[in-house]
Amino acid sequence: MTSLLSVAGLTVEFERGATPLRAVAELDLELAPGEILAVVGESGSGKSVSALALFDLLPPGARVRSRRMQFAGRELSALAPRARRALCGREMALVFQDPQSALHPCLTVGRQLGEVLEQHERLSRAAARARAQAALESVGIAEPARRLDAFPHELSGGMRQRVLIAMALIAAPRLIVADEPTTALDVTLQAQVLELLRARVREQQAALILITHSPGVVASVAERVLVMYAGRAVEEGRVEDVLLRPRHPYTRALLECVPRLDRPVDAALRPIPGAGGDAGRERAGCAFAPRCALRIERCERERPELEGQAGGGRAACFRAGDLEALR
Amino acid sequence: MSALLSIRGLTVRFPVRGRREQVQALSDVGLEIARGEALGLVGESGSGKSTVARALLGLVRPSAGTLQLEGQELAGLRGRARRAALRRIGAVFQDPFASLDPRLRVEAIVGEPLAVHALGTRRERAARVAELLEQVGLSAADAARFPHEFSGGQRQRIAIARALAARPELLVCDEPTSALDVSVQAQIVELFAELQRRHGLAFLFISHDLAVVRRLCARVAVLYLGRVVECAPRAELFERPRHPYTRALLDAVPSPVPEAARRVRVLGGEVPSPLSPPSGCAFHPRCPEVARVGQERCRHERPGLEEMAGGTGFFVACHLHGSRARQVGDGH
Repeated sequence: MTSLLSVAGLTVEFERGATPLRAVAELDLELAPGEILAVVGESGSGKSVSALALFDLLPPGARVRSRRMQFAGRELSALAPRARRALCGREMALVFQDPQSALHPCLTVGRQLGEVLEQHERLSRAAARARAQAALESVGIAEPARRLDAFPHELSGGMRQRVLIAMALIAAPRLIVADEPTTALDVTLQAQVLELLRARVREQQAALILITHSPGVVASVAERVLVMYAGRAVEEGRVEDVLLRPRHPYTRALLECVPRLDRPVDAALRPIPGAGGDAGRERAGCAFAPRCALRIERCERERPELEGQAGGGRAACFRAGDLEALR
Repeated sequence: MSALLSIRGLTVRFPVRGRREQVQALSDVGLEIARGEALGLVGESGSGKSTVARALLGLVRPSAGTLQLEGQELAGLRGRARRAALRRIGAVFQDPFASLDPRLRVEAIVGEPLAVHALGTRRERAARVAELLEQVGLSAADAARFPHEFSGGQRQRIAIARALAARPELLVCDEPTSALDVSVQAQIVELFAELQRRHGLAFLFISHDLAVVRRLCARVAVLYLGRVVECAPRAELFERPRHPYTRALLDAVPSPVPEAARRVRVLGGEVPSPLSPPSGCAFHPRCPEVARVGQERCRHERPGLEEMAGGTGFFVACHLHGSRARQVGDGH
């Protein structure tokens, strides 16, 4: 299958003091139409920065390099800023995490939705309004005509998040990147929003990159998952494999610290020892080594590459093969 | 059993700008917490969870009802009496970035309750702050630093140390782990578990994360549109939820096991506006059971919170279960 998105060697650095802070290092992404990829990792792992790099939304101090950043066969980094902006919003859409700050507080919902169409499709106000109403309806908002004239503060959090999704979907994009779209929501709304995204991917053969820290969200939506730690991909594979048989000790540790309803009531959570894997502090060996229970001497010296594992999937760990035996 | 905290008939109404009627955020809420017990309070946003905490901390004034700490009424206390009563209740909020004054050193932040309640000499307070910081997994040397020097999880530890400073008997926690990364969340959850075990602290633990509540709370109350719809011991509530809303909440939690996660059932709609609550049972417009069995009664008559047959200390406000329980009791 041909890729819709093909990224190789994405590296993002921020200017900070003498040594630049490396937020993302050598990241590869491949996504086919209709595919759902989940990207998981803790704050500072580089997942949001990677998304912003795709949309050219990083602040001026950021340096973005890549060997390839192709969307539908076009090299994004070679596009003129104007052509790239035209692409973002119409063919590639980003759903932000925080509906509170991603919506303009002084503009009505209808204006903000319509703006996307006026911008990209040169529709008239009236035509844009009709499309906006249909978009609100499609994300399950009751009384869409009345909501068009509402300001963001007049809507509940769940409704605001759905407005953001409607906004991202209104131009029927081929790629949707959703950055923690349900983190601020109740479980009930989370289930609704995930169902909505899943349906859109199915109906429009769009591709979805879902950034999340919740294994439950990964399991319920995605087919493939990429685990990031300290700016690098450490494991990648089919959701069933990665969640049930993780190959990287970090993935395993992450899964074990999540509270679950299907564990014994008195089972204590097992936090990952040590402080979070902030990208940027480059070390010689594996970035997870200081927190890793399976570390060996080699992990301190040498950085493991993301390598194919027996039974499918890829992991960047010298001990990936041993993890199965240790289970 | 004499409760440490006893809330009865708690009703909170807020005025609404530009309207004559008031919005009823809480209606006739009753909850009890024994010494050393952790009670979880769950429900969607807009259910009134935080209003319970705010009423308890004296941040909103109840329109009706009583809030008693070992028989002493909290609502309506003023001045010194109010301060003395509130010393026995500590509070931890969601956002460790907003709840710590950025201009104060950790020593002043954690020591503030000691200063407010005039507990100990300056030297004793410094010693207590050091002890508290170590108790929450920080070091005594952190006292001299400022909040911005800490990560989110560390800041939440500082907020917890502050809440513990005046040796409260009850800790009110409003979404204390929701803003944290999963690994940090696990650390903080286990810290709460340890505080409960080692110091016999009682908790009112408010969270929308049912799995976290299950880990920490022996009893759980479910709130819907300002009313308790179910209150039961943990094992009952999670294994055999009675109220259709409780069941819907549990069904919406995605499991990290892919096969199970795809079976998540979606509860439609949102919590209705408390300005115009539905007639009868407030949950009936979203209730999957009502849709199935078509109970007229649910649309017209509000179910009261009743203790289930067998007297096992669990309460449900649902016509469907009330009648079923009675049937069992009648020997049908």
